[in-house]
Amino acid sequence: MAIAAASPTLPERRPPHRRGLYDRLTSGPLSQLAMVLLLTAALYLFVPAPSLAISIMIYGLWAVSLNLLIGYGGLVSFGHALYWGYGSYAAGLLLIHFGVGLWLSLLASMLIPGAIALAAGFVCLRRREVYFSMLTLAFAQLAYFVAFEARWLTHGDDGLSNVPTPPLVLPGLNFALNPIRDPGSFFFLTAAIVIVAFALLLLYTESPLGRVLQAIRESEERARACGYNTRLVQLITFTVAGMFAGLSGGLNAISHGFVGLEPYWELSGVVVIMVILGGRSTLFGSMLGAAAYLLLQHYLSNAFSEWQLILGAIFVAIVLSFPQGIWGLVRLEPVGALRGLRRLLGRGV
Amino acid sequence: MLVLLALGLNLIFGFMEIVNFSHGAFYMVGAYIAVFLFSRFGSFWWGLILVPVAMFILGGVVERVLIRPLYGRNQVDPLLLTFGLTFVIVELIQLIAGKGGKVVDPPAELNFVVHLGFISYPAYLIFVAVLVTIVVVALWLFLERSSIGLILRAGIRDSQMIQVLGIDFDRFRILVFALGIALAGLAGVLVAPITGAHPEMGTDILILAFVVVVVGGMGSFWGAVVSGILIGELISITTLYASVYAQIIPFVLMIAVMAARPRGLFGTV
Repeated sequence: MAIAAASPTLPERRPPHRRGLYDRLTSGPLSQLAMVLLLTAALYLFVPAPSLAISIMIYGLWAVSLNLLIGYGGLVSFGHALYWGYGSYAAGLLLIHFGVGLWLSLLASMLIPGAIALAAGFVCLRRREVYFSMLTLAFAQLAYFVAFEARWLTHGDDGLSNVPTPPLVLPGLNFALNPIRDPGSFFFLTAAIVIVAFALLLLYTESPLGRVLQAIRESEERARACGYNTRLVQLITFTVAGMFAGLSGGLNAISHGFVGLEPYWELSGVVVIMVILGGRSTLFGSMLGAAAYLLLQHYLSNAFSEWQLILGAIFVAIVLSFPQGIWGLVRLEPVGALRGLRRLLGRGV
Repeated sequence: MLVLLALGLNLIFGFMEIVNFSHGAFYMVGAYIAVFLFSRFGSFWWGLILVPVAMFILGGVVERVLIRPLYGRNQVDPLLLTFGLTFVIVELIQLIAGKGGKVVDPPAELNFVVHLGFISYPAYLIFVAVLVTIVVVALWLFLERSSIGLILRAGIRDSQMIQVLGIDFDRFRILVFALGIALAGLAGVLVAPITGAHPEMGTDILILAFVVVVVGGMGSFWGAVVSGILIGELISITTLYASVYAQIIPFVLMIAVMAARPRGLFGTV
C-alpha cells in the first residue's frame, strides 16, 4: 500500500469565482469569530434549557479542538475522549481534594491531558491515516480501562460526584457560581472561556505553524522537502488539541458537578460525528456540528428512543454525498442550500 | 472467533484498503439471524449454513450502494461511513429484537464433553476450533491458488493495471467485501451458542479485532491468524491470573508492537 497516497483529506471544491467576498465572509478568521459570537447569542436567546446551551458551548469547544486534527491536520483521531475525560478528572479531583480555584483547576485540566497527548502523540504519529486512527483508539481504550480499574481515585463507572463549584475570582470580583440555580451567569462564563479558546485556536491555524500543518495535510512529502519537521508540527498540534479537549472536559466537570465514565471509544465517536456533521473545513463548522448534534439529540430522543438510527442515517448520508458537512454546504453551495432549505420549510408548512 | 473476525476485517482492509468499522455490527447481525433461525427451526445447523450466505448477499449490497461511491476519495471516509452504518445497524436490531440478550442452545449432537486426558472440553468448542481451521485453510487456498485469488492479489499491487487488462475489478471488490462480511456473520453464528446474542456484542469485539489486525500487520493473512490466537490466549491467561489487567493487556501489546515494529508483527507495508 502506498503511504505516499496520503491524498488531501479535503479536496477543497472551491471554484475560483467563489473566492470572493462571500467566501471570506464565511471562512475568514474574524468572521468565524463573529459567527461564534452570533451562535452564542442565538443559543442564549433561543435555546429554552440553559443547561443545553452550556453543553453546546462546551461540546463545541471539544469538537473544535478535534477539528484542528481532522480538518486542518488530516489526522482523524478516534481517541479524543481520552483528553476530555482526563481533563474532567483533573479538574474534578483537584476541586474535590484540594479545593483549588476555578482558574487553577481549568489550568490543570489543560496541562495534564496536554502531557498525555504529548506522550500518546509521540507513538500515534509514527503512523498515518487509518493506522493513526486505530492507535489513538487503542490509547483511549487503554486510558478508559485504567480509569475504570483505578476505583480508589476515580470511583470507576460510578463516577466522581459532588464536584464543588468554585467561585469566579477575578481581580476585584468574587462571584459565587451556581450552574443549577443561576445558569445564566454560568453560561456567560462558559461562553467567555470557550470564545477565548476558540480565538486562540483560530490564531493557531492562522499562524505559520498552522499553515505548515495544512501544507502537511495536502502533501507531507512536499512539506518535508521544504525543510519542515512534519512530525514535530503534528505533535505540537496533537498536544494543543489535547489541551483544549481537556479544557472542555474540565468545564464540563464543573458545569455538571460530576465526572462520569463512559467507554471512551463511544465518546470519541460522538465528537467525530459532531465534526463531520458540522464540516471539516472551518473551525466554526465544528461548533455548529456540536450544536446540531446536541439539539438533534435533545429533540429526537424525547420523541423516539432509537434516535441514533436517524443520526446514523444522516451521518452516512453526509459522508456519502456531502463530506464538507453543514457549514460546508452553506459555504460552498449557498444557492443550493437556500433552495433546499426553502423546499424543506415549504414542506413543513 | 477473534481469528475469523480479524481475517474478515483484514481481507477487506488488505484488498480494498478500507477499514470496516461496521464489522462488529455485521458479526452481531450474524448472531441475531442465527437466533431467529434457531427459534424458527429449532436447530443450529440451519443458521450455520444460511447465515454466511445471507451475510454474503448483505455485504455485497452494502458495498454496491454505500462503499462504491467512495472509491478514489481517501481511506478515512469509508471508515467514517461504516462507523455511521454501525449506529444504523445496532439501532435497527434493537428496534426489531429489543435491547435484551437472546440465547441459542448448542446443537444437541455436540452437547457432550470431551476428555483429553488432562483437560475436559465441551465438544462444541472443539467443533468450532476445527471448523475455523478448515475455513482459514480454505480461504488461504482460495487466495493463493485460485485464479480469482490471483487477480485479487494483483489488484492490490496495481488496480489500474488490472483494469487496463480488461478485468472489471469492481466485481472483485464486491466479492471481497461480501466475503469479509460473510466471515463476520459466520463468527457471529459460532459465538451465539457460547455467549448468546445482544446488541452491544459487536462493539466490544470490534476493537479487539482491530488490535489483532494491527498487531498482526494490516493486510497480512497469517499475521491475523497468529496474532488472533496470541491475543486470545493472552486474554484468557491474564483473566485467569490477574483479571484486572485482562482488558488492558491487548492495548499495551498493540502500543508496544507499534512502537517497536510499526508495520505489525507480520506486516510488509
